[in-house]
Amino acid sequence: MAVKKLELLGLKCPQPILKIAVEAPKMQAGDILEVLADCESFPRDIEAWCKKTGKTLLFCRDEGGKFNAQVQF
Amino acid sequence: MINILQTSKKGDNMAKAAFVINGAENKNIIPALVLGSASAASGDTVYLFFTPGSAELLKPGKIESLKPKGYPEAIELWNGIKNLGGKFYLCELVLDVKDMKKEDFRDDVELVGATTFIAEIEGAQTTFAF
Repeated sequence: MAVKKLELLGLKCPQPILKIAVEAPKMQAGDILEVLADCESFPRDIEAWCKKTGKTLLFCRDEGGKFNAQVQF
Repeated sequence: MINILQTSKKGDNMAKAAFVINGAENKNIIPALVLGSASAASGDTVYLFFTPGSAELLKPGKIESLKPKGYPEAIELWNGIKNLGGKFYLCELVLDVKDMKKEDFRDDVELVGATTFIAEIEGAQTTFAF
């Protein structure tokens, strides 16, 4: 199980989710993608994306205007 | 004016999303790219169909030049859709309507007839026209 980090600061909706989707095929089952983003809609968007694509959102924390999320594939 | 033609859901996660672009202004292309890229990122097969009225957008370099304030750059979204398997179709009527040639357009766009587009989007769960 690998943990990969993706920094998406400064990207606006829907770019963070787009970048995650492009990264997704490279992930193996069980791998974790840790994402740092500051797009206002990111917490709801990542939750919706995980629900639609069948991924597990381990957490999405507000860290002072930046959102830190982990998605398990 | 922006028309939402139809939205509905189906049971599984894979779906088709079709966008028709009717003009060459930012208000025509930017929302199509924002929603289209979000749809492609969510696993949908995305189709963008450009009518002759939007042909100016498909001249080489035009999408690259669109950097409207507050939005992601158009080419970033365009490439995102393309990298996720999206299709960009231009109505073949443009050749006569605008007196243009296939070579006048960017090479990642396919010239197709309306019948082909309609056949390919059969069963689409989401369709928008801008």
